[in-house]
Amino acid sequence: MASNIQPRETYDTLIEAVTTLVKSDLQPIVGEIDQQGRYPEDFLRKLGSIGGYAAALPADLGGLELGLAAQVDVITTVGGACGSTAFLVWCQSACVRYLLASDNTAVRARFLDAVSRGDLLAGTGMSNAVKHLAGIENIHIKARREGDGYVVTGALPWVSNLGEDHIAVVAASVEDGGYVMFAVQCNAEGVTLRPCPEFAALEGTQTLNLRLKDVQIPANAVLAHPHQFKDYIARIKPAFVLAQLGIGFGIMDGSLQTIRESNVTTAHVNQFLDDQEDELQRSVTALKSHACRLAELADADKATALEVLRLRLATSELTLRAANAAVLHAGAKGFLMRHPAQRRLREAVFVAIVTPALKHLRKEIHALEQAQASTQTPETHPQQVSPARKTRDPQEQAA
Amino acid sequence: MTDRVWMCGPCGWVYDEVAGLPEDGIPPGTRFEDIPEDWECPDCGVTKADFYLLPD
Repeated sequence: MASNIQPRETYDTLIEAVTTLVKSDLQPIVGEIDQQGRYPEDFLRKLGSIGGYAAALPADLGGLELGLAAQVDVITTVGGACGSTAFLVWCQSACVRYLLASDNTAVRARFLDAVSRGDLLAGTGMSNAVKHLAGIENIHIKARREGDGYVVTGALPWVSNLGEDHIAVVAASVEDGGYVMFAVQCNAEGVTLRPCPEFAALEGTQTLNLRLKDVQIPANAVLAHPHQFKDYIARIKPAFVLAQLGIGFGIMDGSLQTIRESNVTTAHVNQFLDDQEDELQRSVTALKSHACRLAELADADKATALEVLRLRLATSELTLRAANAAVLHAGAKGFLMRHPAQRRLREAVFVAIVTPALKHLRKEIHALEQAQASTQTPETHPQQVSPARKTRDPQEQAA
Repeated sequence: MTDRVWMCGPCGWVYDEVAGLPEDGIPPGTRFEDIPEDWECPDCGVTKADFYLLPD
């Protein structure tokens, strides 16, 4: 399989197939997803069957071997129609990445093929652990060793892409030190899924309250043991964060489309708005270009955390601006729940609050900048680093 | 004092000491400190340690 792959041709074929599937199977149900909370399971499974979660997977593992940038483009293409579903595609592809990066061959053998094909749907419940490691909140899942596996207890408020026959990827603190990351089957004994209070958007993501009570985690469900955890998190985090950019890019593409459509009849008045289509488009293009470069570095384990987090921050900020501009360009009709600009606005807020949230990003960036400044001499870095500022100009940020 | 209000950090659910939580067996007027330690947030399942006191 690997020897027959023609990367450029395969990339074009993949994106064309995703675009076609989005038009036929996702676009018609976008309103239902947003306003009735429909979970687009058929679309997700079909996307898996055409390689929509396997763009960055090596060919010898059944993937397309196109790299992380191609996976971001798949998510962007989906997000152009529906930000909610783009988030689900991110969840599934993030789990593929977790499995691929694991040193535990047993967990890969058990789950990777089924998850990458979309036969087994997977939620990522890593928000709590990522925030905990950034010093933001307590960790909610506790583990104790039992044999060569673990027994885990705790609760995660909201985990997306869950279902009775799905798996969830979660991390827990271990009672004798360190952390363990593992996959848990949602129908395992001791696992309870409960509905959450209604969200302002993304109701179609099957986001559920996950409770674990003395759940057995066998060795072949462990992604990283405590002695592997630190290196493992460092390996998966850049891709975890970079792949999320596709959600923002898709929402921005959709917002720009609304702006162009609004300008057909009201350009003469829209011209007085602060954010114009041409300037926003240039900024989006610059961010996408930067994302492509960083994704290639991430594939080679060479992407720096600071650069990745700055780009994610710039993407959150520009997504908010673009969606806000779309509502303002649409005018009064953009205030109707049925109008795409209204949906885009709520989806854009999600990009800014999902882990790593905008405030989380600024905190981590500040900490990294402080650490960097403390290692530099006054001659090479004469000015004190200030807290992560608002990246108002994404082109400057992307340069 | 039994008129304090506590919020769940992760999910925002609120425990009002005046109202208690009778459906969970916690009578009106129960101080947050007197709720059993193994009690869980009814909405998201985290423990008392993840609640914080709201300012007046």
